[in-house]
Amino acid sequence: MNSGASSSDTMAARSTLTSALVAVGAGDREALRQVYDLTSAKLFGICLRICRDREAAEDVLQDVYLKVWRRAGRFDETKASPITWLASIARNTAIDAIRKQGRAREISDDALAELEDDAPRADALAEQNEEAARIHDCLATLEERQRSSIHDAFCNGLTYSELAEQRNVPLGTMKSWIRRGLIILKGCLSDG
Amino acid sequence: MAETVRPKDPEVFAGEYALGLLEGEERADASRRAFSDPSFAGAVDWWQLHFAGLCDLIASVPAPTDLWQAIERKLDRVEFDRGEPTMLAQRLRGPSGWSLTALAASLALAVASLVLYNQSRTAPDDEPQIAQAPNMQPQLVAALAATPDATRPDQTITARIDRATDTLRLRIDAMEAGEEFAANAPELWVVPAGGQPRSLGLIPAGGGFERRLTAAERAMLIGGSTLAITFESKTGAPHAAPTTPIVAAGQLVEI
Repeated sequence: MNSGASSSDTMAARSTLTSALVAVGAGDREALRQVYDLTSAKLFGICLRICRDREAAEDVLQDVYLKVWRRAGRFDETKASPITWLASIARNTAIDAIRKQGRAREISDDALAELEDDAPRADALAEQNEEAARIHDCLATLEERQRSSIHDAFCNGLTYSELAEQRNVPLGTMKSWIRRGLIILKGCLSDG
Repeated sequence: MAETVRPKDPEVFAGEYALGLLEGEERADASRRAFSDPSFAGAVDWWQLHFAGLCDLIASVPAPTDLWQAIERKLDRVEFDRGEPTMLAQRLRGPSGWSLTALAASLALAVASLVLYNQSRTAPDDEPQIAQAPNMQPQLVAALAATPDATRPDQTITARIDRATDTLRLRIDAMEAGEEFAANAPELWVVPAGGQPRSLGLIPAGGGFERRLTAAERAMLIGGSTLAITFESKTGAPHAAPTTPIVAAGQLVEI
């Protein structure tokens, strides 16, 4: 899949962010500011999607950058791209927060529609690389109900019971869909 | 297609955990495994890295304009010496943080220095003398080193298990919760070699602490077991599994 952004744009963005993280790992607070400026909108979007509450998402976002401050020295660019590493921290922090504190269920239909518009965006395409594209390609091989359940689980941070309730299917059925989907994904992602 | 899927197939279980689908006891079980089983932790990492590609599809939303200032204020309160943590530098492992097996090499140095310390020192005033009878039960000691998730690198925690009285003694200095865990309390964990972490309950954030051990606890607190501390919710202790990053860890050694 070829997007409008050139691969050199992607490499430059990745290299800038990696350098900034290395500097954060050495204690450079200005570098953390740079990481924040480059990534806060993306990470806030992830937190907002999972927390569904602005105030909770703001608290989580602060925690995320404090974790980045502490852990940047451990970032290994041979294992993951910097934005992937950051997005994982954001998502995990948001999920931990909602598991502990519960999450606001009240959200307006308009806000929900805005949050769940999942068309690939220009900023996203600029960062996409071959490695990230594999999950999209592999998900596309699943049955629609498996694909969309796994997609919702990841992007919305839903549990099995929340997913089953949302789609009005028995819990066992939802588990079965997703487990089969994971087996197929494992095979697909492990190829080549 | 009617293939059966074993619920506890570890690859699938790791995927369920990475997706955040699990809750309650299942989630605690997966969390414990991620802590103590490097291949399971690796599988969770693998899923996380692949799924993270889906974040491309989530809309960016500008953060509030005053949020950076709030982060900066919290950074000002964090005293953190950024000297290269060569002994403890390890890769992020799983949602909870550290793999304890990855700490093993770095702990050896801390243990060796603690053994030397105990052999050479005279008893300080604030510790009761222990009668040095020839048939005395062995002591177990651990020096819990600060991990990169610790707020202060000068954090010092030492533990001593007295087999004669079945007592656990701790000495805690300079341990502070990170801003995001300010409402939590320190919880002590024992991880038997090759086993799962078990809670030893909440401990104070500073000073001395002492209590009797149960028979079950005594069985786990043996040479080669690891002690670790995380900051957990104040309610619901002892918890089923750690859910926050390890701030201190050390291996028990018989002296």
